[in-house]
Formats: sequence, C-alpha cells, structure tokens
Amino acid sequence: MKHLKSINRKAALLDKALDAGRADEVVAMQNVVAGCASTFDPGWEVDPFGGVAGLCQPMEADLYGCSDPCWWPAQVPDTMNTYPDWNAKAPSAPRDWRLLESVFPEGEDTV
Amino acid sequence: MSSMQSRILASALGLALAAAAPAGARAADHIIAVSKPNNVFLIDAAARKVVKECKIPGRGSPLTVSPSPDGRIAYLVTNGWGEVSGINLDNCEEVFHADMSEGNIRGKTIGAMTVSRDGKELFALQSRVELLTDRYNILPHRIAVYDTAAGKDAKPIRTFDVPRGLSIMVPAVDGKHLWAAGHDMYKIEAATGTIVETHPILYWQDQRPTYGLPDGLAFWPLSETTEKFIVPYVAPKFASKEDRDAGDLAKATEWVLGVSMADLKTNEWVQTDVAPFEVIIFSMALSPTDPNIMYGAYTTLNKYDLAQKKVLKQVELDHTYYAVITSTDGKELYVGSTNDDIAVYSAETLDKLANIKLPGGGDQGAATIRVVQR
Repeated sequence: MKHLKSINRKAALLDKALDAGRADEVVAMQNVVAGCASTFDPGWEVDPFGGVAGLCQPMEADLYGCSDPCWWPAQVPDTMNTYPDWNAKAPSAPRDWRLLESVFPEGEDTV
Repeated sequence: MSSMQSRILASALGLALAAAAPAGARAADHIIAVSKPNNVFLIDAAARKVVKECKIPGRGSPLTVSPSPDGRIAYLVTNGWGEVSGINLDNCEEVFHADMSEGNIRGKTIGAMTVSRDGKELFALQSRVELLTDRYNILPHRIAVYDTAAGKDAKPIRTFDVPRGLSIMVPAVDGKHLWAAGHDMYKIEAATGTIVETHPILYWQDQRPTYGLPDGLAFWPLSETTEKFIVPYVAPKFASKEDRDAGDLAKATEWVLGVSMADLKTNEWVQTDVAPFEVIIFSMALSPTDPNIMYGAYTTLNKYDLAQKKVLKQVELDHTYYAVITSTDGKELYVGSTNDDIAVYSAETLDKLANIKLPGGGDQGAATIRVVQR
C-alpha cells in the first residue's frame, strides 16, 4: 500500500487497519462484493486467466448485471443512489447503449 | 417409503397442486422473470409463451424474485434495491410493499430476500447506513421479517443481526430454518435469527488445508425444482498445506470448480469439487432425477458427472446467461438473466429447444428467474 495514498475517509480507514495489523479483515473481491466502493477488480478488461475469452459475451450482456450492484464504480455511475436515471432511457444494453447518459460531478463536488 | 406413505404423499401433493392450478388444468412449470425497467413476467414453460406481464411500481430495476408458495405472488427486490414489492401475477395488483429505509437510515437489500414456506412471512437482508449530518454511520447487517399480509406499508415485525456479505437466502422445507450464503453458508433459525450452523467457504482454510482462497458467486437462489441450495466456488489446490500457506499460486497443482450445497429437505450440507476449472460458471443446478448430474451456466452451458468429476458435455450459449435451473421433471434446463430472453435446453443432450423473448426487450441484468407450479 506504500504506493497508494488514501483520498477519502474510507480509504484512510483501510490504511489504519493495515497499521493496526488488522489487514486480514479487509478482503477485496471474494464472493459477492457490491456497494459502490472498495472493489479492487480489473473490470471488463481481463478474465481470471489473464485473457478475454472468459469475459461475458457480448460485454453488453454483463453491463447491468455489474453496474446495478455498483460492481465497477470507476467505469459506470452508481445507479443505486447517486445517478438513478443514468440508464433510464436504455433498458436494453445491446439495443440502447448509445442512450446511456454521461455524468459529471456537480455543485461542490467540482470545487 | 411404504406404499401407504407414497399414497398419502401423492394425495397431499395432488391437493397442493390442485390448490395452485386453475380448475381443470394440471399444474405445470411456469417461469417468473423480470426485466428493466420494471417488468415482471409469467411464462408458461411448456408453451414457451409469456402468459402475463405486469408493471412493478417505481423506477426499478427488479433483482431478487421470491414466489409465494402457490406461485400467485411474485415478491421482488426493486427500486434501487431499496424496496420489496409483492405483485399478484393474476391481476398485476401490488399486494405488498415495504421500504427498506426508515427516517435517516438508508437500507438496501443486496440480494437476499425470501418468503417462508407457508407464505406468511418475508425475510429481507438489510444493509443499512445512518445518514448523519457530518458522516455516514455504518450499521450492522440485519434480516428484517415482514408479515406478507401487512399490505403496502409493511413494517418489520422482528429483526435480527447477521454477518455481512449474505447475498442469497432460501427457506428450508422444515419451515423452521433459513439457509443463507455469502462469504460462508449459514443455517439460521427463522423465528429467532440464531445461527445454528456455519459452513465455511471463504474462511475454509482450516477445514480444507490444501485449498487456497476460493472465489465464487452466491447470487441466484435457484433451488425450487430440486430443494438443493447451491453455491459454486473456484479454488486453487496445492500439494500440501505448507505450499498453500506459502501463498504462491504458481505452485497450485490444479484449479477446481466445486459447490457448497445444502439439502433443504434434510438440512444436510456438503462441499465437493465438481470438475477441473476450465470455464467460468456463475450458477449451478443439480438434476432432480439423477443426483450424479449437475449443470452450470455462464457463457457456456455445461453438464457434469459428479462421481467422475468431469465435464460430460459443453455447449456455447448464444450469449452469457447467469442463471440455470432445471425443469421440475428434470428434462429441460431454463437459462436466464443478463439480456431479454430465457433459453430452454435439453437436459439430456444440451441441445437448444427454444428462446422465449421477454416483451419490451429490457435486460434482466443480475435478476434471477424462478420456477413455480401453477
């Protein structure tokens, strides 16, 4: 973790857990992880074998199965809480993906 | 089983089926499926036809589906995973509704939700956060229990704290216990919330000294046609505990696909390897007619021989599907989730038999399918 700097309170708590020798309590991406934070996973780029054959086919079959549980927070908006309408115009990912909204930080988040 | 017992059981089953099926009709497999943004469908499996389509109140999207015992009501986690709605599939009326949030406490049901065997109670996992002015206060995960007759403003009639990470839950046949899974598998007393058994998956290092950390998904509660509650895993195996503890995955002698499985009739639990890990599997189903045969789905559909621990057959699916369940008679496989169709395959040959398109074309996402008799 020496090359990573915590930038929010939750990340700082992870740092503290390491310092206190409680690192084993932090388990990333084992069994179901859902919830828009602390998901250390490579996303859709690579499968467990280091290739791409094990990824969902096509990628659109996997979009909502992953984005609904906030599985890939860095790549798609959080529809559970913050951007509930991100995909409101796109109930079918294969058919409607061009209608997915782009989202940007607003208000004090942009300061 | 004696012939007398058989007749009593057959008679009881006949009565149960008669209660669920319309007059003059024999009970048959129906699939309950959901799609974005807020649709729930009833499908006649044999006719390969959507026979009812209902709208779920709110923005969606539906996730977990738990049918009432008679197959008439679909209870659904929906609306940003923040509410549970019960929809009467005969007339599309909402007959139950519960908000997982209350006051400044935001609650989300991330997966685990089920209805009791008698249909009278609903159990919903709640991941809760207290929204304070200066911080979020993370509260313990709990299961909230609702009276299914409480109508559209249902409040919990009791709650009990549970370990974090539970993602699926089903009731045991005895009516007294729940089986839940996430990091580990738990047998829970439904009345008190007491965890009476914990069976390790993620924390199996002592029970399985030559196995490395497993990975897997516990997300599709597909147990109704076999009464087997199955959670797949993938794990590296090592020559010795010392090699395992050294943590070098390059020293793994093999990678295996396996299952942790609770028998909902007997409450017995087993954990066993199924086959070498060659393709990713998201959900698995045991054959209701041959306990040596298991199926798994993701981007391929696979048939396994448990005794020989090998893949008997593998076919490419048209696209990735997350969920697989057998028909009640064990002759067909229904695969669903992800996009806008349910595919039907022969359980014997894995030949594709049908695609059932969901009207509107919305994706199912991570939502499960369920099979009911009506």
